[in-house]
Amino acid sequence: MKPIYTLILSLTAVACASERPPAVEMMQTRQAIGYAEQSGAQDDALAQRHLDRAIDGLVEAQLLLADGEYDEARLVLERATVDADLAQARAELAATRRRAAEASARLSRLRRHAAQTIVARRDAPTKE
Amino acid sequence: MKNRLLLSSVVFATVACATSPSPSLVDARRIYERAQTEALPGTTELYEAKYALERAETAHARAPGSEEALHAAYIAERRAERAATIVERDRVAAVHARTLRQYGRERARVARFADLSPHDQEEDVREKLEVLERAVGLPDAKTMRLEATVEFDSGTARLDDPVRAQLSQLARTLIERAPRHAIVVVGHTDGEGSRATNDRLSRDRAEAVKDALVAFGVAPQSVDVIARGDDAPIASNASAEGRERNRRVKIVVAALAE
Repeated sequence: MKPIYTLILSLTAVACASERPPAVEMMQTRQAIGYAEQSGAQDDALAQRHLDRAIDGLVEAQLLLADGEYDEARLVLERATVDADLAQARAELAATRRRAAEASARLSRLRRHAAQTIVARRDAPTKE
Repeated sequence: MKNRLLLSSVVFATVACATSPSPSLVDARRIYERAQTEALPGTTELYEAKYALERAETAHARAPGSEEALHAAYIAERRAERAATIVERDRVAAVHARTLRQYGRERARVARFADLSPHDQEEDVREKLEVLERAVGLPDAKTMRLEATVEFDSGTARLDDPVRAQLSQLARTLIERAPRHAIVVVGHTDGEGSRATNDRLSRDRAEAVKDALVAFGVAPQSVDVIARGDDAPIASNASAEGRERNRRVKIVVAALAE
């Protein structure tokens, strides 16, 4: 649901460039940064790079906003938001890869153990 | 004709040069194209990338190199990268899910390998085994028994690689450490299909296990095959999980305990 919401908002933002301060866009960027951090963007080098860009953009937009450069701030915020979204996706990919590797290692251990189970039964004969 | 063609390519080259797309737009197109061919249906990030790319193309067509065009290309590139990342995430997640299912299946098999109860053996298996034990010269008092279960996919007698690996291990252990042994393999099916089909399928399954053991070095005369069709279910055929448990070959091994 969230990506579509973002899309509609960003299209709206382009459609009506005006003297309106980009308050909604600012909130949206903060939210996207929050999601990226929650997804563990700090734990992955690629994700971290895009997260840093997004945070830089947010700070730059705050300065532009203070100067009344609303249109410029709006563009900077939009770029910051797509960077934060990308950071989130990269973080999710890294986490999924980690989980998949863990499961695969577990399966390998199980297979080794399975091979040993038979040997163990052979070593400890059951009483008939 | 030739001249006109030449002239038009020169004109085209000039136009292309004046309006060449930014590196971001070129990357966005390339990354989007690849993500599109690999995406699962309903990947929303792909639609966002598509819209962003369309916006970038429009801005580029209107005013190449303008701030707006460069901005839109930046957005399009990030959106395309995100779509590609999500596609890769979903692919890895599918592999992960497959690994987990495999783990569940194999763990169930291993549990049954370890959990041996000689008293569970059915009457006809016990009889067969006793005959076979005498034939290979196993004294009753000193034999130990192992039991293993192999599960099959519906309608087939195919052994997958992990099962082959386990059968290979079983065969090697028996040959190296208990050269005197007797094996009975019992094939079963679930309740689907006709009686005749199931009798044949259960025999094919048991024979597949025997063939694998023999291929791994076990002597053919020490393996006996029983086909039970769908006569001896161990779970309800009403559920998919029950049917999966019923599609099995039980391997009962008696070996001389040294």
